[in-house]
Amino acid sequence: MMGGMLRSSICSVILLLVVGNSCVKGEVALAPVDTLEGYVARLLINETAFPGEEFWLSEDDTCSAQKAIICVLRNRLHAIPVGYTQRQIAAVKTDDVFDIITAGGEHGQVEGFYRDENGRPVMVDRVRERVDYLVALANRGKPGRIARMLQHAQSLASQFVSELPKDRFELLSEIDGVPVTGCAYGWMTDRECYRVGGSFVRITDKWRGGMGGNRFFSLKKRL
Amino acid sequence: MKTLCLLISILAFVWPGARANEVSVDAELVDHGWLKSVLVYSYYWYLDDHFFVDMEKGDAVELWVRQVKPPSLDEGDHSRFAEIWLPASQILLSLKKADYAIPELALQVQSKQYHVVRGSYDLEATDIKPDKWCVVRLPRDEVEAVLRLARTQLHAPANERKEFVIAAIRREMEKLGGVVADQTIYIAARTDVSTSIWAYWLERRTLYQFSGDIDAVDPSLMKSLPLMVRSYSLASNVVASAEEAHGRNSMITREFASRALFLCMARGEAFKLKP
Repeated sequence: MMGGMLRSSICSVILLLVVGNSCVKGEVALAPVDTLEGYVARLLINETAFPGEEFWLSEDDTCSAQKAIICVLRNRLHAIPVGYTQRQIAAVKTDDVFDIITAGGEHGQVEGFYRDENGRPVMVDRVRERVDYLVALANRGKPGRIARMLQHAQSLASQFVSELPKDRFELLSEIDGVPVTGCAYGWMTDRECYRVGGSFVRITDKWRGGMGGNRFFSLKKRL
Repeated sequence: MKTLCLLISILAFVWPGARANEVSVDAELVDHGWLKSVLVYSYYWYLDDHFFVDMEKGDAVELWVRQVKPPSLDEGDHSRFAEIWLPASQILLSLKKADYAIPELALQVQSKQYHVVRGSYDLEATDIKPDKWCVVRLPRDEVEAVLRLARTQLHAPANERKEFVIAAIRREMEKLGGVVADQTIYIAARTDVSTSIWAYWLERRTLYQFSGDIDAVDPSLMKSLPLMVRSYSLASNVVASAEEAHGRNSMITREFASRALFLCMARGEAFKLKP
């Protein structure tokens, strides 16, 4: 479950996806992992399904999920609803998106994303390996669907501060009779073994709450 | 005319598909043999008291089947989607039969049959009405027989699955390093309606799930291993209730871990791996 916003000092760093000369290898590259843009891009890539994977559906589905995840990050940072504290929703009180992502450590809010002993945001080998593998795939031959989805993730991460996408769940007021706050405040892999519990309310398929192999959650409305 | 009506009545009784309403589904989705495999899979992972209490009430077990159209599919993707609803236990199974290309891998991802992608308990059940489904009734005695067999017959993993898992765990061992003694790996039983393979590495107390859009042991997907592995540490990441997890993907419930362990240790096969 995630939420986020970017520190202003980092906002000025614009590290877009590098699209190199089409005659050379390495057409798709992500921003460096130690930058906010690079870290968030890897999060978006790691949390969504790609072709061949168990939950793969389509490019639109994966890109929509990436947008929804970005919105969760933003909502956890900036849009705490009435009746809740940020800590209740995000397990941390902060204005730093790195904190939102790494809250709870290696097995915390986002599995595999954590701060190391020096406080640097890092990720486990498994995540690094998967992302590197996808980047390598994207750079095989003519850029195709995988390249576009990586670019989409990087673009979203790079524009996180200035051009946030609209939260597709913003206007949700009720899910199966349960009044909700609107907006998404968490996501989980869309498997039966994962149930979020607490005040989180599963956004059903009626609202397209399942995307990119994930299930998104809003919050019970509190007065 | 009377003969024709009689014939139709008899057909409707002996051929459950004929009693289904007008909803059209792929023929393989209402094949009784395949549906029984789905029940065995559900028996391992989902079925509980509700199912069996309900089964006692009649002479047939109902499975509701329907095609599903996803919100979006890429051009050239001919995958088919469906759902099976088990009304007795309020379980919804989502199914996919993949048929699309991954140009970057020069690979056509093509399932031979539908596979269960996920199961959900009682979710959105209020929307479920029989008139939008193809209702299939399996004779109760046949269902009981197939589940009885599932209890007593081990589904030992096929050689290709063993080789796949052993190769993958060896890779993990090399990455982790520091392994000096023999390691014990349990590879779970499985049915053909799921693409996943589960394994349990005893010494590391870790569950592994290998899954993809086609059978995980398909040689063409072997090279895509980074996309297929999930691991769950049972040493630290099992909670009694989902409420404890506070939305963390890394946590699984004790109930889920128990099922996976049961399939690996009681229904699967053990192997020793040398360091």
